[in-house]
Amino acid sequence: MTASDIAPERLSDLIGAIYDCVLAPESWPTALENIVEELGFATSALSVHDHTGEATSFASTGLEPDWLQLALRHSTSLPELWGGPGAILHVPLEEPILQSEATPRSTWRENPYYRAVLGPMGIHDIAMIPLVRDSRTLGLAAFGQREIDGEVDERVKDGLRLFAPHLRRAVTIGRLFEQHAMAIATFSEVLESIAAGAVLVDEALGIVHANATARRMLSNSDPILSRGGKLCLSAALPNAVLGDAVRQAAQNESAMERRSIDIPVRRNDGSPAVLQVLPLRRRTIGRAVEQRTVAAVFVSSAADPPRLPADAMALLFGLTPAEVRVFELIIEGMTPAEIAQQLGVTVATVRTHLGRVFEKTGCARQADLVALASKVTLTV
Amino acid sequence: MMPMITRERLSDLIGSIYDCILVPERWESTLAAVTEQTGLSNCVLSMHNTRTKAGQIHVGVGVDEAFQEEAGVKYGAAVLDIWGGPQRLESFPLEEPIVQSQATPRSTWLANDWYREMCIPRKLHDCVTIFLVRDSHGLGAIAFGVGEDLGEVGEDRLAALRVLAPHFRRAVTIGGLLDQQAGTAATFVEAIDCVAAGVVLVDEGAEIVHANASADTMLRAGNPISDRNGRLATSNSITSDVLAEAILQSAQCDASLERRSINIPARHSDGTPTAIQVLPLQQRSPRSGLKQRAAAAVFVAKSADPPRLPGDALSLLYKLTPAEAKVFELVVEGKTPAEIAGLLALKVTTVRTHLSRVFEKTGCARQSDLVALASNVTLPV
Repeated sequence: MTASDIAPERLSDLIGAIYDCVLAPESWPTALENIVEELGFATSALSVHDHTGEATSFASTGLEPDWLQLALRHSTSLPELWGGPGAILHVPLEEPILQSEATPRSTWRENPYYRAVLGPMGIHDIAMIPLVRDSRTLGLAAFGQREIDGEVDERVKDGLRLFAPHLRRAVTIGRLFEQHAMAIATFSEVLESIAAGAVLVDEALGIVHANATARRMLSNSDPILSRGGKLCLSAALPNAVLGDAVRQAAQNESAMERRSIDIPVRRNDGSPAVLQVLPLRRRTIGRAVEQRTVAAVFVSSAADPPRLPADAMALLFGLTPAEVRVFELIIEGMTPAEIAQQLGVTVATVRTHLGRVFEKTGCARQADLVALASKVTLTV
Repeated sequence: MMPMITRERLSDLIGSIYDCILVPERWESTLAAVTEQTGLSNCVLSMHNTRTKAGQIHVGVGVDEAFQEEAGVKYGAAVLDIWGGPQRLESFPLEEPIVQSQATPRSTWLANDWYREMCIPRKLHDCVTIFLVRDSHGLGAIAFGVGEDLGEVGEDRLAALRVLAPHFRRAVTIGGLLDQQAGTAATFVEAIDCVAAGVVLVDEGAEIVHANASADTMLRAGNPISDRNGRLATSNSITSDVLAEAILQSAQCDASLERRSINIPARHSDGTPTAIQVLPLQQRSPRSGLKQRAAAAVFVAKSADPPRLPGDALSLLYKLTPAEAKVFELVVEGKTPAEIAGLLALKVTTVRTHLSRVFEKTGCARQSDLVALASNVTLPV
């Protein structure tokens, strides 16, 4: 059975199955198995290697579970079967190349990869199709032919040529999804680590995303609330201001001049907090799909006293851990007597530490320490 | 007609449908090729909002401007009516070519404005539609016009469209999802851009993968971080080494075992200290386990500015006068009343008066209380 015998409906189905793998990468074995069956191969493998040389996404059919480990163990002698390490780099994309065309079969017997991996499976030729090749990535599809099934002839190669552009396109589109997914994962992780609450909202204040701090605030309804999935504030006046600010952000199409709108609020315990509404650039992507999110709302996190990076203070000023602790309590506004009690030491000891802190940091007054602390306070 | 088409041509035609995912501009040439291959008169790719009845033709092949413009706006409701109205439209299967004359009797069309005013003058006497998407946004479809000269649609044309229909639907679905993903990714990138601290994403070799707006400014100024041949560095070589080491450590600890950020002291070019924080990132993609480049996020405190206080917000909350708000800000920065008097060109006694009002209005008793209060209302980003 070769490609020219395939009914149009069957060909269409096989091609469709390849593109199904874009949204469901776990379907690759099915898509490959279709081609293997249609063209009379025995095995198949699809791999995308990233810049580290690691095979990163991988699907195969007709191979034993331990095949990959075996192949990896002998992988250094694989390039030789194809005419050396650089040989595969010159094959045009989407064009099938046979191992038996690249190097004579007579030379294979001595090759460790052939002897350990291909020979025992009775495979006497491989058709390889380069699918992706750039500075960071090499994507390949390979189909193994068993000796008992004869030679891979031109009709079979024509069959592969029929599927190759679809394999390539599906891998390429899949990689785009991958890249976006990675960007989303990375940037949301960064957002997650920010001490302030961060909420991304749509024009109608619908919550599209909230980071860890914001989720905590929302679940305590302090100082921000979620009402039917919409971001709001408990007091009517600031709530109206928030709605206005987001609407304004939505209308500010270009956000060329990114100006935040600041809204003062009170937490449930009466202490103050501040909301910052920042417009996000709106863009029309592809087929007129509008980006939903129009603004980022940041909420100052609760009154955690500034935590000094102890190791940084030690490195910068040679402060001991005890001195850092006294420094921290001083800028929280405690008196030496209060600090002594909290740390379980005498007031004289606290004064000694404090004297050293002043000396080492070059500060003369408590207020200078406060100013210094604000400069080295952790950003996240 | 499709039964006569070669396997290669069919494969190319299908491939060009999926090309539209990556290059949406290709819809026009793709639909033109399909229209020609199937011998139909024209073709439009459209989206109709079944609730508002407004529609939009995104791509039109072989249709004049008036047809393309008015199908969605002026005749939006009529186009839906000719198919039997919104409810009937709900009942049609997706991915299946539906012949209009088989769905509703031709006799009913004569009362339809769309048919009378737009189709008859163009000698279009039937239509085959493949419905592709039906969701909260509306109904997406590809419709082929059938000219009077072609006679009835015929089974072979329908067979050809049946072969292509699943590819149209899959391409539109994948394209929509890809757009959504791209939009979400762009939103997160921009949210990080809003953060006042510098944020630099680096790979394990400290190579810069991404810098937010604030970090970009710092990198341009080379203060306190700089871009050395694409690698993140600080102005001080010792700190640079410590930074590189911290990044490497972050990359190696990978996984979520114990993700601890590492703090590095640094100085601005004017000697003032600042904080740099290296935060390890998950390197494995949730989708495929692919390893990504960014291994760590490096946060750099924004310049040596004191924490920014929203003057307006404070004044609003505590009804401070502008002068009181200014005194508040300077006290929080660590200035003495005498210094404040100098800065604002006021008498020390005036400053003390302002300060006592601030204490009174905020309910604070000491300067350090004001500092604590200020840290509450410092702008979060």
